[in-house]
Amino acid sequence: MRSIVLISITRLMMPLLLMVSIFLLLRGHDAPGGGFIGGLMASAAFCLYGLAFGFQRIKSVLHTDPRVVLGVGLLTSLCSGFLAYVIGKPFLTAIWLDEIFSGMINIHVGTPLFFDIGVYLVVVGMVTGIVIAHAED
Amino acid sequence: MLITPLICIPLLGAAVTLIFYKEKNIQQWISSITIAVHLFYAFAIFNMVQVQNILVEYLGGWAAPVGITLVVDKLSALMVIMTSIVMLAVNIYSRLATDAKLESQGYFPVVLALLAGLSGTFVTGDLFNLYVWFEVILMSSFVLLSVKGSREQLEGGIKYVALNLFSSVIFLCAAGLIYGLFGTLNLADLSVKVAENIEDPRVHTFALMLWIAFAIKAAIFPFYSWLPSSYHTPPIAVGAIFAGLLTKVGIYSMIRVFLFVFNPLPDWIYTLLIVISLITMVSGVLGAYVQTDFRRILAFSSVSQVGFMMLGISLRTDWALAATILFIFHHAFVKSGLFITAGICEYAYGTFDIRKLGGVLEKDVFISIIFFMLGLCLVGVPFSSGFLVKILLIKAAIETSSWVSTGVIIMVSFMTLLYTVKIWTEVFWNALPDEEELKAEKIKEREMSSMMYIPAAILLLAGIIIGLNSNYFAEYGREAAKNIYYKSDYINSVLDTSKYKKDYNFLEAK
Amino acid sequence: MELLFALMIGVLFSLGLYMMLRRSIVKLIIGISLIGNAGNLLVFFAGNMVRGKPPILKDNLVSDIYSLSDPLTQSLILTAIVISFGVTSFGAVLINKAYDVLNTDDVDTLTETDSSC
Repeated sequence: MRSIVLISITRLMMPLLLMVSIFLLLRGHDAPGGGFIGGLMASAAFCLYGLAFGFQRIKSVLHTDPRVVLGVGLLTSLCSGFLAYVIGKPFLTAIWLDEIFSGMINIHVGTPLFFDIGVYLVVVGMVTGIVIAHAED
Repeated sequence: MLITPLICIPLLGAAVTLIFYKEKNIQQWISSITIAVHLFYAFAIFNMVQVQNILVEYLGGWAAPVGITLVVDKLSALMVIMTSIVMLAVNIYSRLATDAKLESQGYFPVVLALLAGLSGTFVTGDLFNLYVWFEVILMSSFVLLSVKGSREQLEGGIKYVALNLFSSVIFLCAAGLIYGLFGTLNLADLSVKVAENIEDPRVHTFALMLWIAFAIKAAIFPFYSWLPSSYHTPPIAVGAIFAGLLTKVGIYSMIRVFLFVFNPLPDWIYTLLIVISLITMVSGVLGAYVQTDFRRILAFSSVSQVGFMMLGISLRTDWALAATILFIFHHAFVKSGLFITAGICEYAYGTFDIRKLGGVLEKDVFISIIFFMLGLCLVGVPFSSGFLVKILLIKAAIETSSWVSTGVIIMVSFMTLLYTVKIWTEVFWNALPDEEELKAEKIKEREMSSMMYIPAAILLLAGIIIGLNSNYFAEYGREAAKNIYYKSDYINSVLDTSKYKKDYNFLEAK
Repeated sequence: MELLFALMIGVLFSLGLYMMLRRSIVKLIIGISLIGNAGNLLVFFAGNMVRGKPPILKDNLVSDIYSLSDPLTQSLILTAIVISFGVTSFGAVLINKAYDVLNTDDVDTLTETDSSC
């Protein structure tokens, strides 16, 4: 069943939803938001796309299998934790760029952001994977 | 020495196998390498624990009662090595008995996630973190249990899911209420605060809530119905992991939380636990004897063996606890080995039903010998691993003059012999009756590579090593048990800040 | 206030248990998620209960502990919610698959894996 209204609205909403999800992800650390919520938002966008165009086409929008997204996300999160070993701190210790290069860089960016990006990808991979598995039956 | 790699190595492996989800060969190699590295690292940690006794790591640099703490003591080190060896053996088995559907549905990444979850459970020093690792284990095991999607697997899956989720909720509520009462979740800090309020009936309630949550996971008497109706359904490459490791998680958490944190509860609770564990032992063994499916016998046998472990916990002497710790260690190897043996019989002769199997001793001598030796370890013949743990348990029962439990231990050991002999005669010794033989000939016997004996042989070897080095293991188990009962070492190592550096000797009132 | 929340949690628990004990598999999953929510609320209110106060300190200005809400219980239930989200979505996939294969929604007919004794 293809509804022309749903398809047109989805074309409009997809970029908007994905943008909001990235906004939520970046807003994360000190304000409400973060990787999990952002990831849920993004996967809601993909689900909407699946409803409009058929769930098998989600894979072509993601350009890969959801499992790969999940794996890359897990890898990103782990690596952000491992970075702390490089400066001799315990696993998952936050490293902030503006603390290391104080004066040179003024953006408050650090490993927690990469951790959140990993969580974002894990959630997107997980939810789209489950939804596609549902739709296959 | 860092503890996090114990959790991170398998997670990394899981991430990489997910990325190569199409390439089965690469997945196989990555998972084997990951587990081998994990085993190597676990041995390194084990050696370190001999020197330092207790290793502590604060995640993210947040010191003890605030952040998440990872702690490895002698008990945890032993458990991690056990997990790793069983996983390695099952990994070798899963390479040989390939199951295309299972592997295409993500067997390797999920098994690695399960390994991470198990290691996390064994090394964490935080109650809520323990809950999180439990959920990691639970999610992975759900997927493994139902991934092939056959009729009985989905049925078993639903039963497993319902009861285990219920136990998770109980665990979560208990953890939240404990936090509300004491304002801390760190196990070391908690054990200090619980010791100050041990008379409070609320503490007893929360301890029993936690006990129920762990008892459902460990399949103890009133709660074990999910185990025999789900453990025989998955493929052997999954079933061997489940039987060897998953119920042990419940027992381990009971030792860590129930004995370490909530130690001197009122006496009636321990008496009740002794009764419950005796009932578990007897009902499991009776269930095993009437079954005719190879795996169902082994599943019921798990229930009765868990009863032995629970008995060691409820007797509350350090020798009894040492017996429980060694029982976990030995039973993981023996039960996984027996499951793999059952899998090899099924692979070669096409059925798990012991009435339709027969005369394997003539057809295949190696697997019969392996089963025979593993069976002797399970029963506890002198110089085997089972003998060591049962003799320690009987010794502890006699020392606490608990005559009923002494009698039940001996009786259940003989009944274990009965069902082991039943499998031995039906499957290996007796030839098939003629009409069954005709039917069996129609089933094409599959060629199996002789490599398939290796995983079972590794697990058997582990059992034999425990049996032959019984002095060393008994002493090690006793030291691990002492770390649980005499808490000051653990507490002082974890809360190693000037504020908490008090004298905790008043806790050793046991 | 505490009494009200305690009652609410109790009602949620009993509803969840009631649903879990029904015969339908779908209701079993609904019951599990209701119980999960009750557990989350219980954890949330197990910390100190204050109204309209932030969990995060600004500039270390804190006169007493009751002028802020407990941040730990909030992060605990955040974790628990994420976990129960995963578990419930898995449960949904499971019952979907199970209905396809077993062709039944009745828990009482799931006796195939039970032991015969």
